Amino acid sequence: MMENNYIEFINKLDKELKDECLMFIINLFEKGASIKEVYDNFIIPALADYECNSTVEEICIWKEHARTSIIRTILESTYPYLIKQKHEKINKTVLVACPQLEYHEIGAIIAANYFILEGFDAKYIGANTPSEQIISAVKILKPDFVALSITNYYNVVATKKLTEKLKEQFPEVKIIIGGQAAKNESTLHQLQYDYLIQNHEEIIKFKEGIL
Amino acid sequence: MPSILSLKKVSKTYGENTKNPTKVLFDVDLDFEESSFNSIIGQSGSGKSTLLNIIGSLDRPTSGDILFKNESLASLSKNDLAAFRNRSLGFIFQFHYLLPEFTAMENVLMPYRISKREITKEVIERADELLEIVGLGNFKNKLSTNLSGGQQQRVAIARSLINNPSIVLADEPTGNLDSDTTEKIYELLRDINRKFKTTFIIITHNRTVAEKTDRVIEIKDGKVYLDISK
Repeated sequence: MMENNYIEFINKLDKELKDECLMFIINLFEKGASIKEVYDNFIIPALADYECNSTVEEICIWKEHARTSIIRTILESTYPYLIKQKHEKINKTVLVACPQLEYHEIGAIIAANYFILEGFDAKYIGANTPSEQIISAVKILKPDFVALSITNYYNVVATKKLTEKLKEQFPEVKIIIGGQAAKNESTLHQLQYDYLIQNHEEIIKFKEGIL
Repeated sequence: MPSILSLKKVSKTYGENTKNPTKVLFDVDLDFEESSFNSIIGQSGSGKSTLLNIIGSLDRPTSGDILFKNESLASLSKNDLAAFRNRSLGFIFQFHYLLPEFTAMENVLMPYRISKREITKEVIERADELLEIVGLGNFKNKLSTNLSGGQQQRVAIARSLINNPSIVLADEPTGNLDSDTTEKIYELLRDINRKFKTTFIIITHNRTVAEKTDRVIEIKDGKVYLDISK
């Protein structure tokens, strides 16, 4: 059933039918779908499994951006359902950000929403956040954890420096790393971090581990 | 992919026998795969240009060794090293150093003239082909001074390839070019990498160029600070 629904959703997404895509997901919620079902079965695969049918690179790029834009609208629209479904508060705060020049933020938003679902007080402070601003936010918000989402592998360059500064200035704050660029083991061992989290299951495990 | 070039504990100290020796590279270990497309980044004074000069055998390390296809370069005489450089390496610099009184074609053939090798029909055909590849087929008989900055850099790229090198070393190849030309030059280097399987090691300050390479090596205080691959 879920699989048929996904195919129907993807067909609409391929045609960039924004209104229909959005109403399709809203209807799923109205029929009782959970945040996890919608994120894991529709939103995440729609982004991760995107394959361009065109041989023209430029077409692939704008089509991917159009898809991301629709997904972003859907994702924002899930927030009222997230408020209804979120678990009991656990008195732990997470600051979620994309390092400077990292513009791919959907993964970070999903991560922030999943932290909220699991009862964390999660604050997402944005894509392309300069290191000084992340440090300022840590200073003021005093989170227990800073979660950094890195998609473009080149942004590891800035992330390495940022994590070193965070560890130096806020040794009590634990660093979480996630995102496409954090899937490469040879990259990971060069970064200072405490947790690697790539999906909802890992957030649940992480939560169990810190409580 | 097998290794084409390896640096083993390479260190470099300038003014070793003076009162104030300056160590600029510290036990650098690096390995480059055949046909790979690499960038080296780092702040001014980090040691990245010294590293490229040592990789290019333009300078010798104070200690450590460089292996080209698993053969050590340490024992080569000055002449043998020059022959190796001429045969196996191509160089592209920020400033192209084209000779102004010569045409694009003559500049591309310059490595042959300098090494006093015979310029055969095959060599001319290769120069022709390279000028076509870099998009200057119609400009080959123009004096280099009559070409734009981007075109001159393209001539320098064709010149770096005339000996069919295994490795091209580029030091800020787009450093004095505008962003559109930078993009085109990058695409050209990438095409050459794919077409001829040439290994590229590019020093760059340009994020647009570095993030498109398959591997980024950051040098800081004479050491490998970060080494990441796609």
